[in-house]
Amino acid sequence: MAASRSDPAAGEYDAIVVGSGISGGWAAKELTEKGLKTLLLEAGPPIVPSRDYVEHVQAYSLPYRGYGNLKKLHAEQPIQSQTGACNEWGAKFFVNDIENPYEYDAQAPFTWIRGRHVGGRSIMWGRQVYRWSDLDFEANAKEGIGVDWPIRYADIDPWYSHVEKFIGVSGQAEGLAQLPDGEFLPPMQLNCAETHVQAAMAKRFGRERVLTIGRCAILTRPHLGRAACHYCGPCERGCITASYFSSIGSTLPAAHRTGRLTLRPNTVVASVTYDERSARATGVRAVDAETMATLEFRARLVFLCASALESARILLNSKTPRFPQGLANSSGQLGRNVMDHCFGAGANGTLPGMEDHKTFGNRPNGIYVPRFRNVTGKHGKFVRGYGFQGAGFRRNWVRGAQTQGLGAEFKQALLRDLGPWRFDLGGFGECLPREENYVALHPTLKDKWGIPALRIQCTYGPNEREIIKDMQLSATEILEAAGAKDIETFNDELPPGMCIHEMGTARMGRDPKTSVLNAWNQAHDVPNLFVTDGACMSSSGNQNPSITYMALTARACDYAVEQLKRRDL
Amino acid sequence: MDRREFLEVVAGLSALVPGLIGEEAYAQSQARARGAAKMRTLDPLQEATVTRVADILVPQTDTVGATGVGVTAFIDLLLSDSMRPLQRERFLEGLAAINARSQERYGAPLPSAKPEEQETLLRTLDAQLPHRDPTPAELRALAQAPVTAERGYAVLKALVLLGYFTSEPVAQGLLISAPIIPGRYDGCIPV
Repeated sequence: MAASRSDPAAGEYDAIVVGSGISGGWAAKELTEKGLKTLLLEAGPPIVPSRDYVEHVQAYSLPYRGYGNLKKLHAEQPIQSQTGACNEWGAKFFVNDIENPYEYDAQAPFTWIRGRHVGGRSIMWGRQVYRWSDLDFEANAKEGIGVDWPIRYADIDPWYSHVEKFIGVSGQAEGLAQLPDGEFLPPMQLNCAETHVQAAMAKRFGRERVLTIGRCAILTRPHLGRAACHYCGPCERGCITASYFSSIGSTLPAAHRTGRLTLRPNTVVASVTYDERSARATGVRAVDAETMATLEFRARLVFLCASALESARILLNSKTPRFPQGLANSSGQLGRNVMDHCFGAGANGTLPGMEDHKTFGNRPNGIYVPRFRNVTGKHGKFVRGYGFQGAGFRRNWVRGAQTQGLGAEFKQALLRDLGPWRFDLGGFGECLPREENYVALHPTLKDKWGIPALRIQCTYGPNEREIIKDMQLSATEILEAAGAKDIETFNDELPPGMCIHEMGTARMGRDPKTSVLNAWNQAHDVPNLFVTDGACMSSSGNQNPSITYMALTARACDYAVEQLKRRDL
Repeated sequence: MDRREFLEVVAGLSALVPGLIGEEAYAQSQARARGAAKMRTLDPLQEATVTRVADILVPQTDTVGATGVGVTAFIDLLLSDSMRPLQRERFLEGLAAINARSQERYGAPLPSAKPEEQETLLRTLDAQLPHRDPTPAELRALAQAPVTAERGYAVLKALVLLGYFTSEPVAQGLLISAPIIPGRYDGCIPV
């Protein structure tokens, strides 16, 4: 059944892009700018910034003042509400877990945090952007883990620049081999505590452990028609001035300007359609999220950008006689090698002094300590490494609940003093690709739209556990070097998924027998099918991955359009 | 009267009250000021316990105190509409544990103990306040154990402070904080 003639999205397209988040927005922009008539399908509803963004709403304007309606959150979003941004302000940007079920073993939980609306998780993302280096791209080959990446840094370097110049990235160049510098707007300022820790680290660790301001997709000056950040703080609730990068504020307007984009929200893609004779994808089959009508759309190219697990789910659900285990899955690797970043461990402490100084404004960014383990030396207990994110801050009245005191003096102190400077360091660790971490279609469980749900099997292994331990030790060393008091390590024992960096389910590789995608994010088995979200990742690095998805997407679009012109697809 | 007006009235009233009238009359005026805010979950003893603890923690001074911005009603709202049944039960157990401790020490639940006894008891509990969030292991242990007066007090203190500092009169009128749209970021300036 095709989309009816009256459907606003009816017609023939050069390309279909599935998903309008960080990767899909980029695919839509690049393909339309290169002349392709493109249909962008988004499973969720539109977002209207003037109506839906709530970054300036104060706690006292909410019924529960930010505490949230826990009964409702638990009933409708028991998984989503485990992440901080799914709160009384932002719960609407996260899926309903009852409508979007999945299954895991009680002993091996996986938290799958999703946004289904135009813009996807680019609305609530952490906005941290770090380039990979050859330390990352070469690791699998050197250590014999997983499959070798079919690309190296030189292949992606110009595409990182291409993306950075468009989205706007503020940051400080550091000249570190393991974390290449990019096209930076002026960096945000470090605060008093961070400057102090930076100097103490330089003294104690030299260039081994460097503290730099977070590199983030937030504008520190006007950029391509978007306003500079006004430092209200909670970006994850939206940004009416589009000062941080999101599809809605950046890539989708660019795609619309070409006149070649058709965006169809509320369109839940169930599968990719395939023609056995030509051995090509022909389009997608979808369900209208509101009417439940079955729809079919056709195009010469299909880009899956639905997020790592959703893109794998769509392909697993696209069984054909030639691909009984899911489309483009002759390798059997589709859905396997699920990775996230292990995090939720580190240390914090109090920095004495500097109490006569404070910050002004709410900087939506922290500090970064680039990976220092297994960079030049070799750690005895684990391979790969981790970076730290954190901040120096004064807790203001929030410290009251954990500060002894009561009565008039206590009240006055919480009203008038900002409290001591605290410093917090939390690790983001690399996770190794392992085949036994996989997603598969559930035999019976389906989502609200009748599409088979996923069963997710994913646990951390010994390498991740050693990394989690080391994060606590080395964060303590850094805080000690800075003269911190009352240092406490922490390990929140978070399950995989909580870092919301899930990836790896359709890995890139050189050999069609052991990987799903080639060096251009093109399915080995289906030449006109591309997957450019986190599914493509052959390893996880320890850097926040979104910028790499954007760069790989732009690169894949460039390749696909060239191939299309040469009629090789 | 909408919520905003209600808070303004309460805050304005309580700013005038303590020096003029006795504690009992003050409590009655507070109850009148709350008017529509009849408790939906807290029974009279629980309500009085929350109110006494709130008053002692964040008293009326030259600025409005916790009960002056309706903290008891806010906590009752969370208990009634937001908290899950187990959370609500554990919170109420905590109040009961505080009153049981008061009964054991002073022969009366907290609201009926003498003011100096009330303060002494709360200071004793406050001395045990954890200075950080519980670890996952501690949380698992807490979930298995009966709620102690110390734990009940820690949770109540957190909610009283939340209710007080997120109220509009305090958040907008009393706290030294940046405007909603600061327009710039300075990392290190004199206080």
